[in-house]
Amino acid sequence: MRWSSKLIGFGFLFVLGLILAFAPVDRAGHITPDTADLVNELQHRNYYISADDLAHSIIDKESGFVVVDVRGKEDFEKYHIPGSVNIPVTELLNNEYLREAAQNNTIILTSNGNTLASQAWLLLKQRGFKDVYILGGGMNYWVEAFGNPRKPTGAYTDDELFRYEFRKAAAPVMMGANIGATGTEAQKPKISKPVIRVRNNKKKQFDEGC
Amino acid sequence: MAPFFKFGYFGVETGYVIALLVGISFGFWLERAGFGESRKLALQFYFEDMTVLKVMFTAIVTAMIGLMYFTLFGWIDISQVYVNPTYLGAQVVGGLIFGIGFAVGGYCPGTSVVGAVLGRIDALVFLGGALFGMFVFGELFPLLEGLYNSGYMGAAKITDWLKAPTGLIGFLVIIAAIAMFLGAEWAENKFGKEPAK
Repeated sequence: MRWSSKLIGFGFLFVLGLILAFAPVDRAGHITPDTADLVNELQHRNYYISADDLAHSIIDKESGFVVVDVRGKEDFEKYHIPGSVNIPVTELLNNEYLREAAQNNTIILTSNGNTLASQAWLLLKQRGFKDVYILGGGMNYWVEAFGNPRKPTGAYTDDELFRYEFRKAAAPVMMGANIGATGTEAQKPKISKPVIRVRNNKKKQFDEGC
Repeated sequence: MAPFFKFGYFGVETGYVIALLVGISFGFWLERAGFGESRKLALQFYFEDMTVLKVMFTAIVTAMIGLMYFTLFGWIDISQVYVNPTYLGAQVVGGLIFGIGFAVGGYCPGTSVVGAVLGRIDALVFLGGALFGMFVFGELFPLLEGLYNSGYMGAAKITDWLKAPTGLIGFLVIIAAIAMFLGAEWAENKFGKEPAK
């Protein structure tokens, strides 16, 4: 009797395993998000990051994010966010660097406005990239915010004043060579090398007991 | 969809509470399996009582089958599940030290805590030794750092290494588990002085 119950158990295990051996486990593991859901997320701007937040992160030298500029090369060379990487939207999907960076970093997409970045976001999300955000307002807003920070007028709050002060202080860094651009520097646009700051994975190491 | 934490169903603080509850139940079931007693644990090294092997393999196979079927049903996003990175050199050396300590002391870290809670003096001594070992390791870390990081392979998986489908590997692990089970029973009958409880 004992033997037979064991046989049933092993037989059950064997059948479960046999099903697994022919089941598409790997394909089921790649869940492609529903396009309608993604469009909804886009419309609600759930995946937007504000220019000020990004600027704070850059100034604090936070690790774990990569700013990806999806505009063309020409636009990028004219002006770009310090530390950002230029990957035109057409090359986005076959970019080895991006694939590697995305494993440990949040990807923040930026274009002139929101449109191109949103398209890139949709593209990446459908390809299974998880941690992708869009810089709200894109480069146009960025330049407006940091290129010429406007002093709040009327009945402004402390927050607004603080934001203005921050933008003014951060402007030289955020606008990079553009503000102090002299003739010689303008001729040789600096191509900033991408700095991948890999998140220290050790901090989320879990103990496996025995 | 799981994993719940990665999808933001609860935060870090709630996570700690859940971890505490899981830990308590883990310890409880270790005790219920008889793993609070060093004599029973040590018997596995003499092939007299293979309960530890059986329990561990049962846990591995249960978790594996569960994760694979949950993936098939779309209940879990397996790519979001944290995989412990492999440090081959460090883990070979660490495994040997662990094994020696287990055979000599009769406990492994988890079970020593269970034994200590039960008030067993050998478990308390073992736990003290383990803590002392951690302290020494911490103090010597600059010397051991090379070893600590040696053989880093990232989140290595057998399926990537053999380039075989996950389901097939799962099936092979199940076969291996059944073979282990039968082998363990055979060893118990051959070497066991008294029938295994």
